[in-house]
Amino acid sequence: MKDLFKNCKKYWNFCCYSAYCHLSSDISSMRLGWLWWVAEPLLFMAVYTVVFSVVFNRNMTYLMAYISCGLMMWNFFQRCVLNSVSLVKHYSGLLHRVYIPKYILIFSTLLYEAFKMFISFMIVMVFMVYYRIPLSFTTLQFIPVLVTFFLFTFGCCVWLLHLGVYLPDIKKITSVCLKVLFYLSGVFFSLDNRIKGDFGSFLLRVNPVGRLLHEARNALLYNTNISVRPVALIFVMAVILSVSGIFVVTRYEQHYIKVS
Amino acid sequence: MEQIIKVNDIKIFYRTLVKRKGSKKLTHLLGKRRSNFCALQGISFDITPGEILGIIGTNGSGKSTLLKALGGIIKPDSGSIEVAENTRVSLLALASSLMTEMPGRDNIYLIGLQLGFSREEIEAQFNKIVEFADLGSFIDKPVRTYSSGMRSKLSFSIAVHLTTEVILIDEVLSVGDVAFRQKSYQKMKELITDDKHTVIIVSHDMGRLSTLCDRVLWLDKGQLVMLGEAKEVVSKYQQKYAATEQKGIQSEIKAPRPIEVIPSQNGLVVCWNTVSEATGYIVYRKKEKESYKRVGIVVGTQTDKFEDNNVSPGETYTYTIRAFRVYNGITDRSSVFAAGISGTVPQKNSN
Repeated sequence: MKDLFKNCKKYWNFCCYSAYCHLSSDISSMRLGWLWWVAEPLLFMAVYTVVFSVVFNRNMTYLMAYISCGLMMWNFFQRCVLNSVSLVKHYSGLLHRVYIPKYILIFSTLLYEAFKMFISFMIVMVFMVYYRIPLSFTTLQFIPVLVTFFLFTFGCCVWLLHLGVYLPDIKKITSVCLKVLFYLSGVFFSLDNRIKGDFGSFLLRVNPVGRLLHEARNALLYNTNISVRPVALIFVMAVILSVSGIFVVTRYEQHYIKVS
Repeated sequence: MEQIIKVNDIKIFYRTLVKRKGSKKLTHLLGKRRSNFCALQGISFDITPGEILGIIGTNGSGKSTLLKALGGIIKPDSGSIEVAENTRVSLLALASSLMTEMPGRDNIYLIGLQLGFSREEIEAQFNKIVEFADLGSFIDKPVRTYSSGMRSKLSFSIAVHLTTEVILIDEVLSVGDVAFRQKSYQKMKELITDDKHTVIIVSHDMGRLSTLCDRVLWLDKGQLVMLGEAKEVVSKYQQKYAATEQKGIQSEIKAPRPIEVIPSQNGLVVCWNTVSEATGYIVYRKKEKESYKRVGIVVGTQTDKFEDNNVSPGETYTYTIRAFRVYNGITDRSSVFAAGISGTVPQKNSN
């Protein structure tokens, strides 16, 4: 753990610069450049709004803000998880030159995706203003939910980074699992209202991503207190996942080059 | 003097897949079986600060594996490598260590930060790196648009300007064209003679190793054969392998197979399958009904492409490749694939 903090401090500049390089590479490779960071979440929000309200003929309070909030968090989770599977391969050039703790690469990916998430969050804020959603003390409860969400994502990423080195098929498996998880997490619909019977509340109990999305919306949009117990439970789970993941990666990372 | 690196009885294994014995159908069904290949078998030695150590050995003797282990990139399966505190180690290898989607500029900063340099230290060396690599305006273009020579030059330039306390060099004493090779050799000599750096060089160039190194370590099939004064070890190595190499040179080097010709910004890029024992490759080109003419030479076993800029838009060219190897000053060349591979240079947009 002491090494973890030491390495984080040592490689912080590398993390930030690597994230910055990826962001600028994103801009330079597209004609619309940074506008895609705004356009992409808006377009997806429009698609899901149409699907939800026109195709399924349903409506909901603050629908656009609800979907934007769900997509903001889901896209962050999905991109981080998918990227981390092939992270060692992606950075193999740099990794062949000098030793660097591999979990540092995850921090860099999280920073890169967090920047994009921040832009999506600005869009959510715009919708909050549009719907005249009042800000209160409960809005601040979004912060612990977000911290737990980051930690949970990191925990998943660190394990997938390790598995991605040894199991080349894991990227395909992860894509399929993420697709299933997308529909089981209520990204563009409410798990407890739109799924019949107890299955919705069951999903909220067993699916950490679905639960965190639900709690984030409660805090941000509906001025409802978050459920402390499930969030605390996910936090503990995320800590265990992250610590065990770092332990495994640290133990095996110097064998990765032999495999990749 | 205290050691800067202490290597204690290290062993490194690679997991490989080997063919099963038995009937073809059965082996096809079962696939290959896993096996352990021992790349290094109990190597021990020490390096003192400021020392220049050369590593020699035939292909597959474990030289590059040893360098990777010294750089902390691979962990030994048994034994240990102790590096003195606050000592930074970096590995310079011919295999590109650059991020291809990013510009050369970002690669310089990323590698520098990864090596533990501050932004200010990198900025202070930035112009020197670009000037030495001779990249000009290419420094702001993505590395994927660089030729293999440009990549090697940038990689080399970063390594010799952002120097760590210990520098590991893997067969890069012959980077780029003739002019750059001379420049890089001079730079290496400067680095080596300034006493601030400990350098470990893997090379097949015995002449340069005997003049540059204090000591030479000879590896064979993962085992340490000899470690001692440079000239003595090199001479013993040459005595042993002179006969073998003369014999080996008689067996023809495999011809590299051209894979594809891709249109690039300034012409055509020809790609081929590399040949393990090659020192470099000679690229030949012809237009329809003409005979082949030599258009370029690239150095490095792993170099697998060549950018031909001396072509006319709209013309179709056929390329073929020949590998060459150099043993003790004797050059041996492979045959070529007579059919070659063709590509057409795109017409330039009049706008």
